[in-house]
Amino acid sequence: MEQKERRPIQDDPDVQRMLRFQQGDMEAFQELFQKLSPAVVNFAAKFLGVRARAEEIAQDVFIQVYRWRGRYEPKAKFSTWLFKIAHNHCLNEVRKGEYKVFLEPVDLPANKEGHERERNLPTPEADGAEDLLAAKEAADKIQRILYRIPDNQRTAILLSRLEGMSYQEIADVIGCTEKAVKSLVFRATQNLKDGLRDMADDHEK
Amino acid sequence: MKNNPETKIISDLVAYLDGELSERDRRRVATALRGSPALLQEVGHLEQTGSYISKLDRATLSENFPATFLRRLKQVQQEEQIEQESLLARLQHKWVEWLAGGHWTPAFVPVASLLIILASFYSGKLLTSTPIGGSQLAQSDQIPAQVVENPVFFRDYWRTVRLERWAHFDEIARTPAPAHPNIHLTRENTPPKVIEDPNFFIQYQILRRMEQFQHFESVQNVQNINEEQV
Repeated sequence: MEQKERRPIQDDPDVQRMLRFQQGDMEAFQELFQKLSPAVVNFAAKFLGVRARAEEIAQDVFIQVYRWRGRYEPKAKFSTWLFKIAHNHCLNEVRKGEYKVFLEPVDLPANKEGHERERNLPTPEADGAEDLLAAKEAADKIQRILYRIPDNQRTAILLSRLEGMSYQEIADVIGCTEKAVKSLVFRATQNLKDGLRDMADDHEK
Repeated sequence: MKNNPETKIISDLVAYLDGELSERDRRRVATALRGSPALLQEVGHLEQTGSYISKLDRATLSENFPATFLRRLKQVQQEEQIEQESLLARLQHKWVEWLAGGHWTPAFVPVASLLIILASFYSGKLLTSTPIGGSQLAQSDQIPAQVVENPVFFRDYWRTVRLERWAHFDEIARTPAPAHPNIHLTRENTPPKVIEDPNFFIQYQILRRMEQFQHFESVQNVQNINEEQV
């Protein structure tokens, strides 16, 4: 995979904030919290599928940032470090078993035929009342399928699509290679596509 | 399956859409897409699936989210403050409590005795009953510069001075120097007064060597023996 040019880490304003916080500037920490906590909540909510718990997870993440301020080293973008913590918290949460009902492993079919049916899925840009309802339904479906795909695939696709992270950044978060992320994102997309098609099949029956 | 070129192309489609392929791979996929309507359709499906996720509603924060966090943060700060109380500070606190409680009185006499003995031993005062003021000696012009410069010898110098003052040195000096500096002292070759007084006995080998070499600098050469014996 081609090595992309990465901006110097010091250019990241969040890195600067974190470094200021390390020096005891609490205002910098508040700025980080205000700016990034919604993204962490959103990630945790999509990962766990439980919004209320997502807020607690996000708070845990920032408490950990506070406690670990001394350990922080600006090796990558600050958000990478933050989401690495968030990813680990979410994994711990899932391993508690409370989410087993959502994460029950399902062998998602690969390369099923019947692409035509996917055309029945509503587009995300739907604007009519019926379309909006269908879009909402599709969103719920997406959420349900998300819970069923493997953890790392879920993290990879969420960070890629929700946070717009590059594969390299996702690799830093998950702790794998960029090539592995490429594969994770592809398989997650395939699984989502197949899951949506299966749901559409069930609906038609 | 793995070697199938179309499978390889399909697995690259998402990365192609994400702009994460190298220039060479991007061209390869683009070429394949131009020649295959099925692949083009697959790209459309994958792109649409990806867009479903990016269009999902973002979770909104509850009103009390910042306040709850602030409360938790303050709690953590308080915990940290307690943790930051160093072990030394805690020990000091316990030490003061112990002193104030008076539990130390039974241990006072043995501990104080031990401290005095140790202090005396390390200051060299255990070896004499009539100490001489150190500052008085240190200011004397008669002390060789080398002795002043070397604190190890300085300690021995005091003893040497005392020996001279008490006139035992002459007696020691009259004793013939041994053929070998490391010879063991016996009752036969050691002056009686030296044997009677163990405080001098410990210095005897040094003094003998000083005499043997006829100059004070030779003290350096017996430093190790002196330390071993002490």
